[in-house]
Amino acid sequence: MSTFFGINIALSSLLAQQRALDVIGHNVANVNTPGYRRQEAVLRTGEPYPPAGASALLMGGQYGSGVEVEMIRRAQDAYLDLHARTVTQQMAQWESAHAALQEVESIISQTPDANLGALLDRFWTSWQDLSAHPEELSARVDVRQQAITLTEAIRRTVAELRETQAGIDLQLKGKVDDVNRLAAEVASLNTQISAAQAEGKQPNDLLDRRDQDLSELSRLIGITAFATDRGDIIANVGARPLIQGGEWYGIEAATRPDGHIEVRWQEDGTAVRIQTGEMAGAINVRDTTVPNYLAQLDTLAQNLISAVNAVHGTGYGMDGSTGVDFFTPGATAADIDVSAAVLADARAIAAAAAADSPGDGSLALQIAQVRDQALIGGLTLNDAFRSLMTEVATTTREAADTVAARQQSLRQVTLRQQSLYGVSLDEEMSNMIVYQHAYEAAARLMATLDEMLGTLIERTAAV
Amino acid sequence: MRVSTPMITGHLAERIAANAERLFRLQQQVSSGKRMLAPSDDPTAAARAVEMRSSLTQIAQYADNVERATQKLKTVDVLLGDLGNAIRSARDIALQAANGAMSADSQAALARELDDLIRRIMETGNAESNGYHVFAGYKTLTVPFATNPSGTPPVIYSGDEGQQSVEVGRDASIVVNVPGSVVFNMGGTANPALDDLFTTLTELRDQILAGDAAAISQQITDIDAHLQRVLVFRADVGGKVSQLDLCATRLQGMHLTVTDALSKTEDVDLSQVVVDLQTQENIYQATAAVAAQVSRMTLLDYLL
Repeated sequence: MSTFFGINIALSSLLAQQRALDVIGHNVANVNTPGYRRQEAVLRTGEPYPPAGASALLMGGQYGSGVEVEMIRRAQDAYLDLHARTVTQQMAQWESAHAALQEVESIISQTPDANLGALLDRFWTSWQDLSAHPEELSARVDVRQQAITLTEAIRRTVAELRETQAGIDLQLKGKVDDVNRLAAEVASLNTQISAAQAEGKQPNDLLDRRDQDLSELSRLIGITAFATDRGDIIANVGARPLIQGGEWYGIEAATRPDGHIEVRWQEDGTAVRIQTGEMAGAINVRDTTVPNYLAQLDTLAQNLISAVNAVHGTGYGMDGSTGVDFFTPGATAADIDVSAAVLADARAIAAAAAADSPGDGSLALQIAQVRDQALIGGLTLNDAFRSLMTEVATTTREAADTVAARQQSLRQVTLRQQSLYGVSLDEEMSNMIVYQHAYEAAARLMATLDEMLGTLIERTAAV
Repeated sequence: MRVSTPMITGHLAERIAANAERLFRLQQQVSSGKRMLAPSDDPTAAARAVEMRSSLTQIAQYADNVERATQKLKTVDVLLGDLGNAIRSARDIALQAANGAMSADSQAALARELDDLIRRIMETGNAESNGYHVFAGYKTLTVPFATNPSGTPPVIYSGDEGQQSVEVGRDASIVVNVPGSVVFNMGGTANPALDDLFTTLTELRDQILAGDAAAISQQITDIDAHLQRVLVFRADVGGKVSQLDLCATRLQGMHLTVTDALSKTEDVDLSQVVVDLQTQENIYQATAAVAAQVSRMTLLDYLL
């Protein structure tokens, strides 16, 4: 047993306390770093001397040899992280859906005086006015104007809904790029982490970065991730691997025949089954919700056209014409328009039910009464619009409520994560004092041993 | 539960943000005066509001129609009054002539008076309102009564029997004209057993000139029938005008009711919101003050 055994013990303490202080310093420096997980130096006793198995000739048996840093432990809870990712991707899905739905809602509901319901009302009343003034050209011009305003509004609504869909397509392209970038990063981190762990090092900061990336990926595209024994992560999207250890499989934004973007695997062009995350929410609104509303608008437009034309065709205009279509027949909501004949001359608008009856406004009255006809599954045209608006409003409300609920869940999980992983400055400060004192004590021990050795060397057997 | 530093700062930031959001929303409600900023804020109420707006537009249109109908009917009323007076005058002339022998001059004078009346009556028949002929049925742009060049019948009616309807409520419409053929009994439309008014009066004139007292007495019965008919129509028109009056009042009432209901559905209760706004501002200030206090507490102040 060496003379300087004691000094080595003191030295081990000095070094270990210093390392521990370094870790504290790292924690304090990163208290505000997003995704940082607090680390702590785990101390343990050094290898006792002599090692077990050697002949125990010394008195007292095994001696402790001081302290060493076993490892730098990083706070982690795999289940908590998994739970956080699950809640994140659900919330992200509903958040992106809600954002899109709010856009859709404002397109369809407009201001109360300008929405399709109000414009329909003004259209019907213009016909009533005409029926009370059948000889007037001005009343016909008014009918035509209301019709133009109405058809314009319908066309514009369709165009704006389609723009929303196009906006989602653009978003998807950007997100596909982000997913690929993150996947590449995680794959590279996987390689570095496994290499470090194989050498027995703890790549704590790399692990932090990887967890951040995985969280970001969940938000975007909804992954299921699990760790392998080697410390790798396998991340699947819809049961197909996006990242497998050091390998990653890219996705791309391809154009479907209907003009919209579909997300596909680069490897073989099959569609990616995206089930949650931001992309899923937006895709759902684009492919299910908006087409449903467009279809309802089409039904409304087509019924308006056919019902009004059917009556109008039997009537007689101021110029004696009959059989004139009021709206261009066969149009859909995207191209509904007042007929060319009426646009050219308002006198072609029929108010009379028989020829040569300038004072007859009965046909105009009939057209005004189309308002009360149950044309669409028992509903009038006005009812159908109101039903559409209610559907939009309710769907948006539900999305908003779901987002709020998910946000609340996420807050709970995040709180638990922060409780576990977050740096507490006060805690670090008190630990710092502890290690500081230990360091001072070790230094004092060193000084004492130095003095003792000095006494031995300088004062014994001095010649 | 272990409380880390990010939890404290994060929680405070989050609370302040939530308060700010609520404050903002209340401010928006106050400045717009509306409770709902988007239909999704209250889908059922939004749907009701759309329906009520629709009702209001309809009610306003019905009210317009009622006014127009009332105007038209009043015009008809006045004209029928004129007609009735003219027929009475003709009756008076007939009575005079039936009462005894008259000189050829007196006969001629009466005949001329009668001619004037007939002309006046035809003018009444051709009266216009807003440039459209009142007694022409649907053919409001053409003059309905014209002298027949071939003499018999004396006046030809070239209007039709069209009835002009105006909607004054859901499934409630009112006819606002009386066709000339019915008023003047052209072609026996109103009473097949009777001649038309012009024929009756023209025959009367001829009878006066011929001095045929017996025929004149007979003719008075016909004139009475004409007068009766016109009076009945006038009463009918009068009745419709009263009906429309009630209608107008009812529509006004409905308009008020719906406007009120709409306001209750859509508009914000200003006093309540202002109170909420004040409360929220207080909460905001309190949170900010706490945040300032808590973030200052740290062990670092007490070390070294």
